[in-house]
Amino acid sequence: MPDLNKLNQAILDGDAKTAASVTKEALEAGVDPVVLIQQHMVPAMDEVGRLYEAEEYFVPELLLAARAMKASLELLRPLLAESGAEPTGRVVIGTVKGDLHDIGKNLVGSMLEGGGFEVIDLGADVAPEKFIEAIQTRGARIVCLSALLTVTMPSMKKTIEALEQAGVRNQVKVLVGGAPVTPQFAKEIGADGYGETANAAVALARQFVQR
Amino acid sequence: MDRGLFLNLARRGLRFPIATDLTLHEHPDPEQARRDPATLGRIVALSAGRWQCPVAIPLMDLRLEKADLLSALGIPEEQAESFHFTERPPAAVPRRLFLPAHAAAIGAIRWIRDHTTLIPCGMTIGPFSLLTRLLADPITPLALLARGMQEDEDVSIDIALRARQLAIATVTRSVRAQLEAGAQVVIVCEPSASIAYLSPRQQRAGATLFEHFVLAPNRALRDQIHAAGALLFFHNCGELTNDMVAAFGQDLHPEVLSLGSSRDLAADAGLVPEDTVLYGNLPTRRFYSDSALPASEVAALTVSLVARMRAAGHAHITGSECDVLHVAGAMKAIERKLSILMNAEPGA
Repeated sequence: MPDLNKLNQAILDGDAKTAASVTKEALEAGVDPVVLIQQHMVPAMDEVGRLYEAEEYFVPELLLAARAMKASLELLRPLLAESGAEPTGRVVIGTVKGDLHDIGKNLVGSMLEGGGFEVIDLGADVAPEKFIEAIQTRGARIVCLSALLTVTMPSMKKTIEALEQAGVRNQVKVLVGGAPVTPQFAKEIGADGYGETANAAVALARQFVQR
Repeated sequence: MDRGLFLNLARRGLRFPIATDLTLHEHPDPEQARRDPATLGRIVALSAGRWQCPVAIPLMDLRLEKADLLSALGIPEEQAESFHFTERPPAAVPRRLFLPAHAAAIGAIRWIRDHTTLIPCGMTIGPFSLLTRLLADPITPLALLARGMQEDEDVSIDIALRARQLAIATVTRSVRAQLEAGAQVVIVCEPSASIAYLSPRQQRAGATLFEHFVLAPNRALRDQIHAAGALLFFHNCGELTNDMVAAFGQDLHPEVLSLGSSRDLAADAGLVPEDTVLYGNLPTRRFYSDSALPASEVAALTVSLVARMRAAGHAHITGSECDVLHVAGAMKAIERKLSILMNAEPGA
């Protein structure tokens, strides 16, 4: 049996190779994939989030930690699918139409994955129809919209309006974020929540799935 | 052009936002205007007049250099923004003509020189910020490099290092053309040279990324600008540490250092040389919204900034934290707050 604390530490260190090798050894030793996720990977990413909030970690450390976690998750996903285990929740995320900035969106996506969510990342410059398609065909129940530019913020409103017109607005919770976005703006456009940081977004997403 | 230019303008109490985009959008066809040197030159001159600024601040279009580089590789202009290198790019690219929007930006500088008494000014994305736009994920290869990994250990590092070379060559070419067109000031925009891409934790651990990717290429750019007798206006509206601000001030030693609204300029005055004018840094990104930032708060912020900079005794030009963009439906709010930025006085 490998020392599973090494998996936590590999994620904290952003060491993808070690994370994958410890995961592989653990699976070979018969450790339940759900145990690996719930008792090691999610707590490690929670700690990464805490260090980020405390300004001990910054975006690069956070993304490397997420990369390490993904290296481990890739080994677990096929097993989880076979066992029928459900993720914490299913999220579709994207930077809205007209905006090509994706650092914030990537950060939130990574932290959500670290929090046990299945994340459908549509990328940047995403048209409203793509969000609707992800809700209808992939069962996403949380929609995360990101924008960095003041001039693209109206696309958030248009996306929410498109969800309403497509009749899927009441199936999902919409979370918005990005440098120029404010809680007031989120309220004005009819979003369900505003995440000032990646951690705040994860906390809100958790609240949404618990309700 | 003398280093004293901006020091004198600061002493005279000059204020201006970087807001040529607003004037551009008053043109019936902004996209056409963006591609015509004389029309764009007139718009830049109109904008300078609007803010009573003797420097002809151009549009802050940070897409131009990326489109220029990619055009040489056969990538159409309309795909340039979303394109990223996924394999090792060539070490150099063929000679090419500037694309219409880029040629117009350069031609507008020439138009200003030939038709006005304004000080012609150029604008470019910085080499590091261009590099970050050439890669889908610029953070991981940089972080791996900071850990001592080499290009033969991870292909993303190899791509990033090659993209760095191309970015430097592309920006150098753009600046050369702008200087030849008569630019006497060049605004270099490096918003990505921030803690989002360059972790302070990595810096504390001795990583040399900041020197290699940011300071060294920008020193070379400064030398290029100074060699042509022009001035460096260095802009970075990203999240920065004090060490980064000090390095921009002391190492690059620009004539003007423009910082984002996350910085306390009065405190930053102690980090930069006395002869570097600080520019900024009102939170203009939020001017669009009266609920997020009421006009009364803009007035209070402006008065506080002006008073604190006067107390600090450091040369300062009150201005925007970045380019003020046209936002349809919010122009009244933006204009009202820019008027406050231009006029609010302590004790008034």
